[in-house]
Amino acid sequence: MKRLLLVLISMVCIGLLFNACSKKTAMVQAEKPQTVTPAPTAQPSKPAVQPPTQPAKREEPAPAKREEPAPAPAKSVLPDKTDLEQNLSVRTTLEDKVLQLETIHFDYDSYELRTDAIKILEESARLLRKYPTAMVTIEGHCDERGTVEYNIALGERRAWAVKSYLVDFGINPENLITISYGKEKPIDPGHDEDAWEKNRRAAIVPNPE
Amino acid sequence: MIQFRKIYSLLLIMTSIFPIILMAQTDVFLKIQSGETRRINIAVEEFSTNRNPELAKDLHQIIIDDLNNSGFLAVVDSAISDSANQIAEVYVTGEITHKSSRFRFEFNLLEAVTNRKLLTKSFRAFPFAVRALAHTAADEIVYQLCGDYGIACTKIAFVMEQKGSKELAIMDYDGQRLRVLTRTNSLNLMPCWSDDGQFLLFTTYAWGGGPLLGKYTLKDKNMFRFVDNPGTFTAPAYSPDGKKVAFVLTQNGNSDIYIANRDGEDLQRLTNNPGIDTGPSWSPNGREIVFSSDRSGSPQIYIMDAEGGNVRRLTYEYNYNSSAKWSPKGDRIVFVTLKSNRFQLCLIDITGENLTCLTDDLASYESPAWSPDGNHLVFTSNRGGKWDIYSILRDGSLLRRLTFSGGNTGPSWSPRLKPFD
Repeated sequence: MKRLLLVLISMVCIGLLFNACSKKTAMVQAEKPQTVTPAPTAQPSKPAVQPPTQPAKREEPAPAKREEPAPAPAKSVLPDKTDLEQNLSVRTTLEDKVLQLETIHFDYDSYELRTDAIKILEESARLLRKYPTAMVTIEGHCDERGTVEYNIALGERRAWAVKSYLVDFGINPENLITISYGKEKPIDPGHDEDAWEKNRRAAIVPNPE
Repeated sequence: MIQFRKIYSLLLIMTSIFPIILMAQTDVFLKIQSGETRRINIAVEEFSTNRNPELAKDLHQIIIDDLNNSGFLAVVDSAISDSANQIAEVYVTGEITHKSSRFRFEFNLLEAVTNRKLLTKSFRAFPFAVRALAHTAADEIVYQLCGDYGIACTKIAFVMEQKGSKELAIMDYDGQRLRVLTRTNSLNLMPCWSDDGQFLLFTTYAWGGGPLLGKYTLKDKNMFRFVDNPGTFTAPAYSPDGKKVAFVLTQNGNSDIYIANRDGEDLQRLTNNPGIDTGPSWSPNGREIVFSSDRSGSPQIYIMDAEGGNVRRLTYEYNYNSSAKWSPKGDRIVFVTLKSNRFQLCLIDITGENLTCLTDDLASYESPAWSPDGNHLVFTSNRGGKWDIYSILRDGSLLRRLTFSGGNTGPSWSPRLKPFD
């Protein structure tokens, strides 16, 4: 009995999540000024800290991965619609692959692509070329050693540097959205060089849909 | 001949007004100049009351705090004291009378030696509005003594971290009566007040797709998008007369400074530079804008005309200078500078001379903003272990912590608001 209830609750939750997502894209597309509707579900904030058990790993294996709840259980919700299922699974594999792309890092107060970053971006470009219709967002981030307004501008630069590289590689610029969060969304809340290095980053993430 | 008559009559009018101006000036007890540290000693006697001693005590304490916080006055125990510098030069008496649900507060400001009355005023309010009434009374006292309204009737807007989101909040200048304004579950940053205190412009991620400008109406408690054009927008700043807004528009990764009218239309580009240009702040006469730019290779402070011409570099010391704010008095510019991975608050003349730093320690100080009278600064600092809002006099004295919960940043000081707001 309890189990049934749990399953029911989780199904309702998933339904709500989808709802929220579709509402959100609608809001993004709307051009006109509008009063803000408080988002019905909180955007899951990124898990802030890496587990201390794996401190040796420099690049975090896409922390956003953990905030992707939808794909697997969605299948069980809609077992009949095979079309949708297929689309979903394509999207899911793409999302999975995008999320597995390594985050690239930058030097302090710089948006220059380092050699290690270029290696990663080549990998990313190869993947995106396989999915010519895939829309992704490039997020630019900074460490805390900068003012709020300057860091947002610097994050834009970083995201744009990644976009330019991918476009040079043949990716359709219209499929690449850039967004800067400045220093507002650190992965590591620490205040040392280790944390700063992790936070100066650009990540390619699937577009919310 | 007619012209001569005109001039003559004008002269007559002027000479008849002149004594009035003189008299008005003698009403001001002491005009304090900036940088002067001497404060007027003032005593506030206990207020008499016919019903509610608790309220009288609250009112008394809030007024004392306001007078001390003004930076012009020092509240001393009484008019008669042993220590020479503790003697009050002026003192306040007051009386509270309750009538039905409201109360009436009448107070007098008197010169200590002569007992000459400098000011008598009375206000009525409901007991829940005791803070607003106290701030109004304190402001009147400060105005009478210093010729300038203080900060008691002002508020501070700021960014408050809440479970992964950052929302706009507002509080009295002393940190009391805190209230969260937005509930967007998103990032809202860098609020700035309109000249009339009715609107807040800020950077928001609430609509998705990157930072945009939001306009919050305090009366109606709602927010709208400001500027419809495509692109990402940050760092808005109202001009002192409220007719224009400067902000940063980023296109193709490049941030430049633009202005629009108060409705977010008629965009004009002011900077056209491959470097990062951000953080605009207007001069008090609205003719110039200070901003930061990394066009030289590192972020430095620059000044330009409000039309974008005559750009001149202001700072040459230190490698990272940003968040410049022009003082409402017009003479100084506050900014933050990065020293050994920490931000410190510094001041510089608009000529680029007399660089002084207000802070220089192991903590970080960010996002400074001026009080409307130009005598105080508010900023965020982690000096208490968490990021909280503090205020300080522009001479570096009277440091006060206004919030204690942590995660509080990006303060902006309101203009003097209507009493009882």
